[in-house]
Amino acid sequence: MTHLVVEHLHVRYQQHVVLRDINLDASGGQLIGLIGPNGAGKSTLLRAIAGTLTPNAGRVLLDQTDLGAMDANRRARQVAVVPQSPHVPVAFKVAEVVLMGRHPHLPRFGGEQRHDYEVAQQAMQRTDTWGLADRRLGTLSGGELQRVLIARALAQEPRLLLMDEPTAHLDPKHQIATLNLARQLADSGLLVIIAIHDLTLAGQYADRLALLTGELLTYDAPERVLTTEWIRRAYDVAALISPHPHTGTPVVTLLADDPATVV
Amino acid sequence: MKQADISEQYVWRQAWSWLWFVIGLAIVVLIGIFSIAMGSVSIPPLTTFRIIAAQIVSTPIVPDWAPSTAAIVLDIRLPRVLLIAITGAALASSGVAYQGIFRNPLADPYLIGVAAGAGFGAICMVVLRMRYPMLIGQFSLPIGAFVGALATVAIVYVLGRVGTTTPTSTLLLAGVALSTLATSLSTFVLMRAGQQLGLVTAFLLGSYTSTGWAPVTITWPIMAVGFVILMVMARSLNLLLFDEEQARQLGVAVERAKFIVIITATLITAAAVAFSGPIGFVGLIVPHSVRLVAGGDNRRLLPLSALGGASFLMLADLLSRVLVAPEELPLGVVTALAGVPFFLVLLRRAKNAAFF
Repeated sequence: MTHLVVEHLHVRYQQHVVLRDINLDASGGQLIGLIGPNGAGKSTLLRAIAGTLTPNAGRVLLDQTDLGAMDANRRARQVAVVPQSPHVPVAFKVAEVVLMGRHPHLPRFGGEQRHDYEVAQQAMQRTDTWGLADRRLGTLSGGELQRVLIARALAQEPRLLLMDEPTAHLDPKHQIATLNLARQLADSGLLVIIAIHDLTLAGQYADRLALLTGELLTYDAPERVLTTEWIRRAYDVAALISPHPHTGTPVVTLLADDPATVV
Repeated sequence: MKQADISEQYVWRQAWSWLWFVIGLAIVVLIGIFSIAMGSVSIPPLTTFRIIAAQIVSTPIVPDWAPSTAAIVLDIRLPRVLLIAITGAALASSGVAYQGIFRNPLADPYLIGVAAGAGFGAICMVVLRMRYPMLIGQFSLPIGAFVGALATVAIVYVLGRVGTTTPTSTLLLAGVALSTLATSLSTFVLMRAGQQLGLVTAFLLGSYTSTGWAPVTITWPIMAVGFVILMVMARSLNLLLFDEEQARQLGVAVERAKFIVIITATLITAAAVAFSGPIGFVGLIVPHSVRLVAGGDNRRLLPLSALGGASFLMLADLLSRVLVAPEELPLGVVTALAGVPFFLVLLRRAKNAAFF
């Protein structure tokens, strides 16, 4: 089973410390939610885990192998990223884009083989983008593009899937669809880590939540992380926690007026 | 590509691509033969074809042409047309590479200083030859242009470096700065030199300063090797079109890929420009036109653009010889005359559809 260990990760941008001594571990089959306010370092942590950013200290181990020390090609076969609002060339077709996820598996002097096309097709079917295969990226909606990028990531056949705010610009239907897909992927054995800002949804779907504010405040099951105290400490707001009527997971209701802080 | 098996569709598509390539090749050869046939002495195309074939094919073809005709074809026109074809192919493929690396549809091979550097190098050589005629030989102009182009891009690359990476933004800025510097220095040197402007001006407008087979034998290996390297990097180029971070996440060694592509594209451009001067618009127009037809995948775009560039430049050369016969228009002028209206048409289409 896939096992991820983040050890003493420290990331500094010039004088500003973005991530301070982050330690966490996770296994395949889990869906981990990264939550925290803006500027907390969620994207940075994802980049450091993905290996596209070299930390100032610490390391990321996937099955005891240092991800940062791997060459890009080998790493891309283990870890796939779905970025937030990335730049995409509008003229490419969906199928071409998903096939690009096969790049790390292709030999230097060769092209795609039958197997690569099949993997891409499965990835598109899993993300319900098979019907979009001939469309150009420029004609897709935000939700469709999101699913195409997820398909591209799946085409890499990774063991670790990282998603940066996948629900940020989506309407409710697509938010749920994306998170359902992430849950399915985790259940099928992938280790999925999602940076997400919607606390209730995070609590509903994730196995564990990592609360980040530059440092890792807590890393635990949703019921133990989504509490009034932790939310005040991380977000500086008052919140009411109630159980979800169907799932029992914590529903976070933000309170506009906090009698304790009336000035 | 609906619900049918995806791999069948792709095999079909591959076959089509090869077909297009063969058709393109045939067109290039046809245009080439016509190019050779036309000129101040008009030679029937079929005769031209047979003269050339006689050189290649082992079964003897009985010559029904005058030896002087053969000489015109084989010693003068064939090498000239071949050089033009090679130059067009080099500029077009290099244009594809630059547009990919800089993720910019306005990029052309001269973006980071090749043209300005080549011009400066050529001017320096001409001036040097004026003062020290015994030092410099037949290829002084091309050598000066080649060295000038490479040196300029090398300096731009060093200047554009930020830490361990070379962001395309700083490359661009450094390229613009150095191009301006080179052009200004060129003007200065020209002013001080006074005479011998004709040769340099002709070079800068894009016309042929060398004849014979030597330029072809020098440039075609560079072009061939460069093209192969670009084809190997084509898939990485596709990924780089998104952004560097995504390319890295998909397994591309980004800095190394950028370096290889820029160096290679620059080398083939410099070689092309060394003999023909900086001919504009080919590196800009041809990739765009091919992209409209063949899509954005660089693995298709590169070979088809190379063929397109060869055809385009050969046609431009034909026009340059025919339009104001018996005189010749500089090649750079013809490509510009063709280029500008084409560009405007392209602009109108771009407003309506997304095509990059």
